[in-house]
Amino acid sequence: MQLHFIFNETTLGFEWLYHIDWIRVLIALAVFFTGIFISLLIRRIIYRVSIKIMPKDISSTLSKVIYYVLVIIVVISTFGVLGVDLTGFIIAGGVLGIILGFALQSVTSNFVSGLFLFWERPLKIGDLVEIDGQIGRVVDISIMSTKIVGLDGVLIRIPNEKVFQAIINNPSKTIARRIDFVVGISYRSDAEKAYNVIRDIVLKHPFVLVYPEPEIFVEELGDSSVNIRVRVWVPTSEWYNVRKELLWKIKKALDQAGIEIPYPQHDLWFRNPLEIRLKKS
Amino acid sequence: MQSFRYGEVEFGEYVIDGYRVLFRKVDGDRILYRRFSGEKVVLERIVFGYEKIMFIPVYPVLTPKHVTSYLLLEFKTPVHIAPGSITYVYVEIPIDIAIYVYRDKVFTVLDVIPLMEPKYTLYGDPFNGLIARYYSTSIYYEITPIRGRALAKLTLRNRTNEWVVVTKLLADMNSLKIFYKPRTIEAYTQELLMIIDSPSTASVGYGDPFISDIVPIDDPPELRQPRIMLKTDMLWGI
Repeated sequence: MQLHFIFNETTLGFEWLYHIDWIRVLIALAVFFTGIFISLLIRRIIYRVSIKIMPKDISSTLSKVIYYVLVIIVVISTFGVLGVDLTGFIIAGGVLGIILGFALQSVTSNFVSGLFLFWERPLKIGDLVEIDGQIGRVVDISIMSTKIVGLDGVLIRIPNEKVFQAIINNPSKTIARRIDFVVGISYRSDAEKAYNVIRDIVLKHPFVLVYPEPEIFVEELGDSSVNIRVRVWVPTSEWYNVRKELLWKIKKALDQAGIEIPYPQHDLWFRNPLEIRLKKS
Repeated sequence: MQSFRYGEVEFGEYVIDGYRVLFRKVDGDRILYRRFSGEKVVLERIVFGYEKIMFIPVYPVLTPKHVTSYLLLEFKTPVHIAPGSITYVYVEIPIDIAIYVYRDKVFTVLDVIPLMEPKYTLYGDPFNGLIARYYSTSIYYEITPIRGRALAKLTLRNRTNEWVVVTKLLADMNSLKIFYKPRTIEAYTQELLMIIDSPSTASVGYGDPFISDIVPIDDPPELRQPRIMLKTDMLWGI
């Protein structure tokens, strides 16, 4: 329906109004407002659902991104209903997209990596981890970066793209962890006595787990020492303290038992008899 | 020097296994608490504004550090149970002695004294399993109070069609309840029901006390009981 009857010849300058398809305008407005309303609704639903399973900032960013994508679709649909030719916009948008794509490549990569990290969950706040050679406790995982506090107390920010691509060593993911070390004793010392001393220390420690059973055995008759391998399992949370305590207690107990931990020794053989000349001063 | 009994403490010195504890009134409402190992003071506290002080048997997962709420009992004597049958035994539960200070029913835990060297174990695998306090228990056929232990009645029900061998029990200290007889050294838990679903899996339920004239302990904040009693699943061997 065209509204010719409203206007007469005296309405000079407003002839263009005769050519407007008002029905199409109304439909376009309806599409626009309905689309925006639905987009807002979807944004809210996504935020409410995702906040239950994701950190707040990731939920907020995710819902906003989806909202803006929907708004762009609504605007394009509205222009489509109005019969506006969008070829020019699409070409311009494409060029702009390429430019932005190059400019925001690392930002986008970090963002997407952040989302993947969140879904995969290789680490969580509080975990003691090694990422890209950096050891520390995770204090924050945001949409763009992961922050860890190193063992020396320094804050380290690692972009999510790097975290995603790095080999992550996360002992906190398991509840028990093995401690593995070698105690070398001299050939002169009583190996059986040394074994019993080490065994007593290991079995008495409360956090050395009963199962899996500790393993203590002679691993190698080395060049300078009889090497006794000690393998014990401990709760992951106590790994560092137990390792420190065991090594210290074993060293003290071996000293008390008169068992020598030798220096590396080398026998030197001389092809010719060795002459030693003493100078008299 | 006196031996300890569960319940309210009088001023003086007590012997608790390898330790000696001292309660001395300083002045007015103030008291001095000391725990000795030999002649060495290992813990000292000053308490002000107390109403009463008590020796309470507590869950054995608080010392040397609270790393788990589970207890794994390994039976010194395995129990063979016929298909579809039901039986019961009594088992020991290790306990520690806590010193509670009360004022108007509000309490704080002043000290937890371990009665034995604790040991821990892994139940299951390192990725899916759990850490539990470990204890190797004898099996009893009648109620036998043991100093420094709580006694639990364990009902074993074999729901399978084959013989099963039970060698261990996993209990959650959040669901277990400890009771004591005042002015004695007797401590108990409620009855535990182990339902065996297969030769390697079972679930442990927590029932009611199996003896009268006993008092439930006030649970330490780390081990408050859940409002809904949950069963403990034993998925990695029985």
